[in-house]
Amino acid sequence: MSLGYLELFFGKSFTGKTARMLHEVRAVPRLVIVDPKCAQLVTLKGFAHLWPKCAEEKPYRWIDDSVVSYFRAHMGAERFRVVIHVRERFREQLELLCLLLRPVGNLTLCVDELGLFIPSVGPSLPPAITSAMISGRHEGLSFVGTAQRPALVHITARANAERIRWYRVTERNDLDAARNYMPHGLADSLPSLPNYVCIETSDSSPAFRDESLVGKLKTPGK
Amino acid sequence: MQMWGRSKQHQSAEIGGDFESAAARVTAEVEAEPVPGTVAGEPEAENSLTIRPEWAETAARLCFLPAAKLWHPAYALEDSEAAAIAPQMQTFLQAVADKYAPAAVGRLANKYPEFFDLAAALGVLYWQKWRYVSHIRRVEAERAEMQQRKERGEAEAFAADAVASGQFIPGTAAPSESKLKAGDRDEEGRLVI
Repeated sequence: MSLGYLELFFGKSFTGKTARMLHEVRAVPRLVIVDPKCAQLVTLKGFAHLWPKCAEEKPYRWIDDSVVSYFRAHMGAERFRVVIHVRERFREQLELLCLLLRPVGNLTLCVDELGLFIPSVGPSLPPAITSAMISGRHEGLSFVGTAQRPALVHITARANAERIRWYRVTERNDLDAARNYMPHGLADSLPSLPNYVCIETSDSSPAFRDESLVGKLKTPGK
Repeated sequence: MQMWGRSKQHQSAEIGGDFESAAARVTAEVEAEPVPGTVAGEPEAENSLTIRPEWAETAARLCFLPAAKLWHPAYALEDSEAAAIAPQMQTFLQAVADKYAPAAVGRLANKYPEFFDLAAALGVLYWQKWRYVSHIRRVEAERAEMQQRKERGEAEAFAADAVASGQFIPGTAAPSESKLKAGDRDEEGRLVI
C-alpha cells in the first residue's frame, strides 16, 4: 500500500502506533523522523542521528549546523534516513525543519508524538508547518505523524489527513473525535482494541479493522 | 525520482538555491553565513593550525620513545615505519588541533576561569622569555663565531709573516742551533766538519 501525503496514527502509549509507522515507511528512500521522546528511537539502526541545539531566546533558530549540513550533503541523494532528536522547543524546531525540508523536497517526514509539536490549543500553526501539511505534496513531501491523543492534535492535521489509523483510545473526547471518521460501531470498539490492532479510516475506502500486523511488529529500538 | 515532470538536474539546481536561503533562515547568523572560500563547519585556514607530516612522524616516534628507552632500543621507529604511520597520526593530530583541543580549552575556561587566566598569563610570559632568550642565544652565537674567525685570522697572519721573513720555510724543519765544533760528533754519531 502506498503512503499517503498526510497519514496519522492515533492511540495510547505502547499500542503499536510508532512501530506501525516505521513499518509503513520502511521502503521510503528519503526519510526524516522527528523524535521528541529521545527514547526507543535513539538506537534505531540504519539511521543517522542528529541532535540539533536550538537557541533559548528568540529568534528560535538552530545554533549548530548539524541539520543544515546533513541535508546540504544529502539533498541530491537517492536515499537517506535520519532521525532528528528534539528535546525542547518542539513547535519552533518543527517549523525550522519544515522550512528547511521544503527546498530539499521529495521525502517523507515522520513526526512522533505530533501533539507535542502542533497541539490543538494555543497559538495558530506556524506557516511552514501549515504549508507542509496542506501543500507539501507539491514539493513531494509526505507527512506522517503519531499522537496519543487525537483530540489534542491540531485540527489542520486531522482535517487534511489522507489516512488515519486509530489504535486504542479510551478518553471521551478522543472517542468523540473518532466518531467523525468511522461508524459508531467501530468507534465504540476503540477502547478495547488489542495492541497492534487498529481501525483504519481513509478518504479512499470505508473504515475497517486491521489486524494484519499482529505479532509481526516489534517495538522500535529493540 | 522525478517530480512535477521536470528534469532532475534542473530541479536540484533550483532547489539548491532555495535550500541555502532556507538554511540561512533556520540557523543562527554565526553558522548561517560561512566565509566565502571556506566550507561550513571547517575552521578558517588562516586561524587553524595545520599539522605538517614531519610533526606527525615526530609524534609517532615519541610514542615509541619510552619503550625504546626503558626496554630495548629496537622499539624505536625506523624512518619507513614512521612514514607509514604518519598519515593516521597527522589526521588525528589535525582533529585534535581543530576540534578536541579547542573544545577542551573552552570547557576549561568555562569551568576554571582563574586557572585559565593564570595559564594564559604564564603562557604569554613564557613566550616573551623564549623570544628574549632566543635573541640572546643568537647574538652569543654570532659573537662566538666572530671570535673564532678573528683568532683564525690572527694565526694565519702570523704564519704568513713567518714565511715572509724567512724564519720558517714550509716543509722544512726549523734550523736548530748547534754548539758542536769541527771534529765533534753529533747525537747520531755523524762527524762535524
